[in-house]
Amino acid sequence: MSHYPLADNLYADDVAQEPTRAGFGRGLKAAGEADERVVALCADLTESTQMHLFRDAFPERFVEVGIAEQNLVTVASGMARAGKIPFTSSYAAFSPGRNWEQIRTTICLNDQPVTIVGSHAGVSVGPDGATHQMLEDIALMRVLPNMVVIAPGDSIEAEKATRAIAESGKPSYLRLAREKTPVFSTEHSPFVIGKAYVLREGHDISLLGTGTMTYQLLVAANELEKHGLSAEVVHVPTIKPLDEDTILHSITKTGRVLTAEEAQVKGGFGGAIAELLSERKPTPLLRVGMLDRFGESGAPNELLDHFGLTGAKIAEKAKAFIHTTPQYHRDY
Amino acid sequence: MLQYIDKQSHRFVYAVTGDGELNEGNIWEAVMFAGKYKLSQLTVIIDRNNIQIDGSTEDVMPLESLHGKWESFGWHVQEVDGHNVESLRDAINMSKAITNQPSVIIAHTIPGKGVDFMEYDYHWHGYGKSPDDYKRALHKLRTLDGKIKGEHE
Repeated sequence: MSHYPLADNLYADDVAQEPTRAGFGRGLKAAGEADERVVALCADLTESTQMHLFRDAFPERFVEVGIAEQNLVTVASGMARAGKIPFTSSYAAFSPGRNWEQIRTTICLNDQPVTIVGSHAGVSVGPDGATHQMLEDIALMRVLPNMVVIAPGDSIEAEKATRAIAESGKPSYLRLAREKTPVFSTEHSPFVIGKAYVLREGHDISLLGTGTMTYQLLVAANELEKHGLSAEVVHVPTIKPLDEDTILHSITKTGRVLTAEEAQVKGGFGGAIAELLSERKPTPLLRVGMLDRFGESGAPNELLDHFGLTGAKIAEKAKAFIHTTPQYHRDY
Repeated sequence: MLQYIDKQSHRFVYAVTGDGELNEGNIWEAVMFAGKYKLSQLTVIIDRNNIQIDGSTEDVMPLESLHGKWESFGWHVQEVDGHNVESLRDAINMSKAITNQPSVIIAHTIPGKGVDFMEYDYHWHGYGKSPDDYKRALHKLRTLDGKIKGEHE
């Protein structure tokens, strides 16, 4: 049995829902209370990134830089060099979308403890469409040396991740979503940067999820069970550094892997898992996410369904994959 | 840039911007560039409504003197009442007659004009509150705030 505490009535229609950005807002305020070195900088999106909770509590430690993402992270880097712990926030499409070079050179190269908070990531931001649906952020941040990349699964975990990042002393990317998503973890669920968690045990396939897609994998596993298939669900909130041991341990048991993310699969979470498997344990892999294309405008749930990112759609794919693919892996 | 490379002389290019987005460095790179190449067929129209998502533009990141900034980058600057279509038309025609500088028209506007509960309030910049607000706002516009009967009624 998995020892990860999951929320009650996980599969009911009235499962509690909250956006991950709400957890970040609470976590940042708490981090500010715990450590006066924590400062916050925003690019004209203070309320929608939930930074207003920190701003209202610590106005003297909040900096409005305007719509200027390159300056946002460069100012933060300088503040970090002077001993502060800066959190910067905007929409992921703009930060890290518009300011990658400044993040690379002033934050990562100098290994400064600046956090890039990319809110409204993924297609589920909805009607704003392709320009605002950031899908390449995981790839952009994962490739940078020193950068830690975290996509929390729900609002409770986002709060814990924010607290943990503030204490970590590392450059970090925190990926958040606009829409409400089911809260599958509890206050007692563990979160440590760099750890993956087995949420549900199984032996036919490992379903690896990052961010809010993990909930969809739980739904998929529940659906697969009705068809006599046993899926193991592994939640991977830290995309970099990867918890290779937990992932490889699961795969050794199941011999088949499916990854799910609300981002570009190429270079994204699926890309990270493909790298790990090809070097350490070649295993049949099916990657679910955005397949080398941009998003579209629509209602969030409509888009998730359209792009095959719902539990029901993932269960169908997993079922076909299990039936056509022998369990296999090989150690290197 | 076709004006510069292909010596085309009868194409006019219009770009409409907000004022908040002038915070971006990218804008000033383009402003500097168009000034250098004297792209006189380019006219930028700025909706100067003084608000952006987090508040007044002058609180978030002051833009003034907006006129002075564009002028110092080599642009021909006009300021008009952005709600007056005729004055806007005149300014656009004037910009066509400027042949050695790019042109900018700073169109001063009132955010939410004609809808009393929205006017001058930055909170409406990014957020539609509800379908009901939308209906109320449209009703006010179509009836000139109750002065005339709207076709939709």
